[in-house]
Amino acid sequence: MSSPSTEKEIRGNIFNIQRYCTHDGPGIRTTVFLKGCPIRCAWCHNPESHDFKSEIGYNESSCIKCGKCIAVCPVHCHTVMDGKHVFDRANCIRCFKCVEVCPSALEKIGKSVTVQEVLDEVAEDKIFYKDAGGITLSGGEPLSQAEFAVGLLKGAKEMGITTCVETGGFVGYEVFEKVLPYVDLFLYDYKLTDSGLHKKYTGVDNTLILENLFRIDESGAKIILRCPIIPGVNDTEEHFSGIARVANSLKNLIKVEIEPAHTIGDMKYEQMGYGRPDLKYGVPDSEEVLLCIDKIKKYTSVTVKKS
Amino acid sequence: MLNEKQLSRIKRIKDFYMEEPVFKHHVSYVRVMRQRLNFMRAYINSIGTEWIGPAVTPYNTELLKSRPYTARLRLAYAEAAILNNMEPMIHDDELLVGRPDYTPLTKEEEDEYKNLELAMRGAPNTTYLTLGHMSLDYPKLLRVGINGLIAEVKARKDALDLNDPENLPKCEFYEGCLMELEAELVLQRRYAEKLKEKAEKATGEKKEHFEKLYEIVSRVPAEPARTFREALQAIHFFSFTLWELYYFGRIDQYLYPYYKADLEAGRITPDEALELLCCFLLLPDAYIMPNVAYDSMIGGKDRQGNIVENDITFMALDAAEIVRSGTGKIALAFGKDNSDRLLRRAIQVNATGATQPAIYDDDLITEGLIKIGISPEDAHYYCNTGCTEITPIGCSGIYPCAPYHNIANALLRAMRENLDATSTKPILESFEKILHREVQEQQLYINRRQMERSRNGGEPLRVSCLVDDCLSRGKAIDEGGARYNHIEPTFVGVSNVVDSLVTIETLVFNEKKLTMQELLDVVDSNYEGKEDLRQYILNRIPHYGVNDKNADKYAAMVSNAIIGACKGVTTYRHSFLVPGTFTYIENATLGRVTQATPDGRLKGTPLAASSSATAGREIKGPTAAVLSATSWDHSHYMGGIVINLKFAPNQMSGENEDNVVTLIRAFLERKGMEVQINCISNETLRDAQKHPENYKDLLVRVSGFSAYFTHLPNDIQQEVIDRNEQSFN
Ligand code: SF4
Ligand code: SF4
Ligand code: SF4
Repeated sequence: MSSPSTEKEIRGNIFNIQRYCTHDGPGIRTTVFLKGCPIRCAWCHNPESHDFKSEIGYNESSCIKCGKCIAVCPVHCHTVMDGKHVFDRANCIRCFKCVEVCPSALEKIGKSVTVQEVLDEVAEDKIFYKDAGGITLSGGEPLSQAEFAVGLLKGAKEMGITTCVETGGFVGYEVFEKVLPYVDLFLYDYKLTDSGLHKKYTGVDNTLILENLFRIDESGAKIILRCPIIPGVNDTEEHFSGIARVANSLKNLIKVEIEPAHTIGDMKYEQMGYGRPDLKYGVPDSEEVLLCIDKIKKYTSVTVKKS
Repeated sequence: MLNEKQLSRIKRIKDFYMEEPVFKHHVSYVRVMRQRLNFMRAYINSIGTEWIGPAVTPYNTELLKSRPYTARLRLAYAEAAILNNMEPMIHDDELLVGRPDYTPLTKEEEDEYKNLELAMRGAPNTTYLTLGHMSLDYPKLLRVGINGLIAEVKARKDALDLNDPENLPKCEFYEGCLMELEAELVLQRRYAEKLKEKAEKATGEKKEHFEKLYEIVSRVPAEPARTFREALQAIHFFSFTLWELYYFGRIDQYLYPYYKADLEAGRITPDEALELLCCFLLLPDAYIMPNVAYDSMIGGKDRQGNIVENDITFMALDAAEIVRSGTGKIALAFGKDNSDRLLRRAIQVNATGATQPAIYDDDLITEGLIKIGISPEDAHYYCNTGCTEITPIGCSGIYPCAPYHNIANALLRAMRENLDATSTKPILESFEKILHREVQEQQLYINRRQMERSRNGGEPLRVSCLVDDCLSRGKAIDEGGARYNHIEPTFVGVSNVVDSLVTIETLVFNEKKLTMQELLDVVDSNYEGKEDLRQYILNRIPHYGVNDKNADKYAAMVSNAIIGACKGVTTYRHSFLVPGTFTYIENATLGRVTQATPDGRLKGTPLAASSSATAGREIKGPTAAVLSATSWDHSHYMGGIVINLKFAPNQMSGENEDNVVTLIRAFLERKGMEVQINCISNETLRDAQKHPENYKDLLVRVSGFSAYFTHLPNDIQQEVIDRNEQSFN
């Protein structure tokens, strides 16, 4: 990327700006989803967030079989078989010509935008933020696009908008150092206590993640610990006590939030052409979630809530 | 809150009302058959065939006195006959009484009815134009009673110099008022007698109950009300015999002093008052056509501009939550000076699926009313009448919803007139001209009807006794006696036109995908073979409702065109037009006979409801929807604007309540006129479609009014579901 003349012109790749988010931090928030994630959680429900580059989403049920995509694709990814439109991405060169002509089913996932463009949309909802709400950076891993993230957070603070960052924590600490002055609240994922299992299910162990967590805590950052509960993976006594241990040793923790797994992402896997995820995880019902919360509470006096 | 016994009483009353014919057969709100029969009998007989005297001999004064013989007095005479002949209807559980007599006609009566209907064809039609849709000066009724009104009318009549021919219509008006008011007293007496009878037969608790009611009904509405219960009984009794929408107005303002006095004197407990208020809100279900809003308004400010938030304000919300009537509902006027506590309570009631209260921007409305020449005092003291149409209380001769204009058709015509246009500007100009011609043309008919009614009468004359300045001017509402007389035409299809203009701009002028003629051909053929283009329009072109600057700009232009189309059109009563975008269910009715439109809407499907975005297009969530909806000036639209917000039930409770508070505060800060909340899951709605029998009282907010879902026509049901589909999360 050529060096941008000002911070506001730094570009990043985002796959969504969602307004009226009421679950990613306090108040009414606008969440910016930055594309790309350095790790792969087996249960991830955001497959469109993985790849740092833009890609194609295809929603078969919206396809009206008009054949426009077939005509424009230079490498013949789109074909008709037995009166059905078939999309094979193997040779796709991501030129997005098919998306341009498709009236309904193909979507470009990922868009290169400048800091300013994002801030402009975020500022639209300023009247709704009042004292609590604001911008949340999410992903993927928002901190993986470090310069862009810093530009957004700094810009938001300049406009008097509060900031949240939802992070998995798997980035070098120098990135945290850069964003720290501009972040009001971290929503920090804590997925698994056992480092070996962490590696098994996400591809990396949790050493760096924990290190970063304690370091930002040391430097005074406010933190909400977010813990996904995936039955059969981390709904263990060991992990519950692990969550409590981490929570107890953080100085600036506000609360622990439990995020029950859901299956909303399954459909997206197919739309993104990744096939179904290997593991089919159960979804804890609300009683089980309450049970988890109780178990964690045995070991800690910090607030533990369902997100 | 109410105890078990009270709650089960409310439930019994509600079940009973919902079994009544007004629910079963959608009895037209023009008249109940039995009452209509009495009306016709009297009307026909009011002119005898007797020879009343040749010009050369003295007139037979006795006969003259018994025959009203002018068109208006014949009406008043027949109106009085309804009251004089009504059988009292009393259910054992009722704490407030007065209901129409739905006893079916006998075979002979039916034949008589048919014959009289034929004879009535010669009579002037008085109902073909809005009746009601106004709020009366009920506080006056409570202050002076019907006897006080009679005394005032008599005094005014006696003061007339009958040598001045100018005074003859006044005399006629006052005489008619007296006929009707005196008949109210007759009816009141009959109710009292019946209650006495019941008390004599009953024992124990029941006896006490009827004795108490007898005491109340013997007094009101004839005499001034002294207690909270008398006040409720009085206004209900006066209004139920009108069978039309004569709204109760700001109940918290005028009921509070009665409640306070009762409380201080130890005559009532808060629970008893709440139970009475519940009964009061339920009663309209017994006599108003279903799925029509019969709101009472609370909150806002009083005439002097002081904030109104008292015990009755909150009690009314409690009652709304308990009763969940589809008809007798609560509306909230809410300005920037009203409290968060009140707003929160309003949101909580909505979160229970009660579909109320709708929230009206008090500051914006007062500002808008002052703009059209309404005095500051009257501009604070308004309410929503009809569904969302704003009228000042106790002084309105305003006609809301007259008529519904389909502006999608006007746009299609404007396109045809501008095949060579190179921008949307000339299309908008033609659109405004076409609309103006249509408004002008329709207004001629409305004016003619107003003229006809000014001669022959229309509104029952006793209504004019509670509308300023009818009595002091000696003129009925239909003669222009009311203080304010503008007409509120309403314009259907706003967001269809906005989205169509964006589509034209994008496809024809910017992308040059096709010419205007080609686009017209596509919509004329109902997108036949052009589904790809339709999908492109639906999915790839930004629409109104997503905070898109360009689309929102068109909303402002369309709004200006509507205002322009109304300019310079005058009414029979020397007044002007004030537009609204309230659609009731006409967006579906008109949609059924409207061809496809350039916004991707197919032939025969509903047009958009009020000024909300087209169903399914608010894809950026409620903040964007609110920003779009408030991107243009609402203050010219006192005829009513509705913005729908939809939430899943869990999005309104707990911590999310704060967010809804913020959202609505922001809506009001941006001068949005009215917002209503739908809070019900689509699973429930679909199940209700399949098993209507299980969902008899499932309420949904449609557009400016709540309705029992299973009573709605299929396409409206579907529209509610489509809208809900967009439920924000
Ligand atoms: S860190 Fe988040 S975005 Fe990345 S794979 Fe895991 S769940 Fe998905
Ligand atoms: S992005 Fe380009 S290469 Fe890939 S499928 Fe579409 S048209 Fe073909
Ligand atoms: S262009 Fe889109 S809608 Fe048409 S066949 Fe291709 S994927 Fe389907």
